[in-house]
Amino acid sequence: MGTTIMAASYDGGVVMGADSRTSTGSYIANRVTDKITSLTDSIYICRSGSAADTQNLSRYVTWFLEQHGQELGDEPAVQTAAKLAQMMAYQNKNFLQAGLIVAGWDKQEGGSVYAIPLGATLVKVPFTIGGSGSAYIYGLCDKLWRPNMSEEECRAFVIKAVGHAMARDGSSGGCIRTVTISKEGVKRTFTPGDLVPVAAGELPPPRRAPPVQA
Amino acid sequence: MLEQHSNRRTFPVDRHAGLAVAGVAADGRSIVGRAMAEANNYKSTYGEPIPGHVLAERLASYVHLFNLYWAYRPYGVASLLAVYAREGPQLYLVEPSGTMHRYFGAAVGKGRQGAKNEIEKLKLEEMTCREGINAVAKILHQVHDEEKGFELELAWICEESGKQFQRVPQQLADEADAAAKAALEAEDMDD
Repeated sequence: MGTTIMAASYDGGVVMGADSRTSTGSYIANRVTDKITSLTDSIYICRSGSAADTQNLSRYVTWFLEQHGQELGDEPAVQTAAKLAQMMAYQNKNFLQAGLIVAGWDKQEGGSVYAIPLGATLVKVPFTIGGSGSAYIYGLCDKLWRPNMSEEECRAFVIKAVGHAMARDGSSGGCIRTVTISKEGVKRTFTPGDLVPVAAGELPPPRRAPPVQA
Repeated sequence: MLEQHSNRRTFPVDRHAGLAVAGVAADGRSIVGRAMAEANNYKSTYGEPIPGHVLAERLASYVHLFNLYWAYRPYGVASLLAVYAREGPQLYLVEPSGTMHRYFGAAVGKGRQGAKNEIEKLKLEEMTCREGINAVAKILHQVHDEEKGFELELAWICEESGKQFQRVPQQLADEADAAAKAALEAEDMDD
């Protein structure tokens, strides 16, 4: 998947964002992909690289976390989820193409973001971006991200950044999905392609078809 | 004739966990080895220190196995496991049968009955850790034969030790030892 994914922490939690394009060569195999997959109720993972590799890796991590939660008698920590994902990615690094971002909320640390890039290093970060589209928005994100944003500010930041990446990167596009995780729970937003803020001075999107009358 | 400190009964397991063992000393060391392996393994898989109840459960399951096969004999030790993890300070008692319970105060070994009686008299929830080592030292003296000497070994996990398992600093331990002896002598005089 040519992709743009990101996750950013704010005051009480994290916002994760992704475009929705999956392509096979120049053909868009899926224009409404969900690249933000759940690992537990309050931990999610952004996937980039091979769709098959990352889907299966995520399923394994979900399964390990389920077992771990059973033994712990409690919700697993985000750090644990990140560590398990990193171990799977590292032990199989010769066979995988996987760039991951693990983020979520737990009662020990609050909201946290972990980046697991291609070589399967594990880094805890305040925010991170990934996928082919991320190359275009490093400057933008370094300028716009700041600590202690509100939830709305943080989501607006994520949508803006992903929008800009989608404008420049040919392998990113479609819609913008976000997942917001905090003490209160999980919220999803969906920004349809024609409502993605025009970012790099492109032509306006084609008008929507009028609603079908019954 | 035994060299001092060559027959230790308390052992660190991880930064935040330690064991005190009573019974066959060699079996005790073997259990400590297993506990260290479990703690290490947990940390490297899950990225955080092993919680008390998980370590206690894993140790209990392990010793329980030795009751199940004719080729093995059960472990000859009861162990006290002290952990300071996310949930705060915890004390567990793991027995050779494979049972595991969490306690506010516990005692194992030959003098356990007397020691338990004394622990019941303490107001544990009002006690600081420093008062605790004095009380423990006193009880240990109380339940030992007066003629037969013994080595007093104290270890703690508390705020003061940085939530890490440590031997109680020598000076504090000596003070506790002296205070215990003095208190017991004073009690004898009263009789």
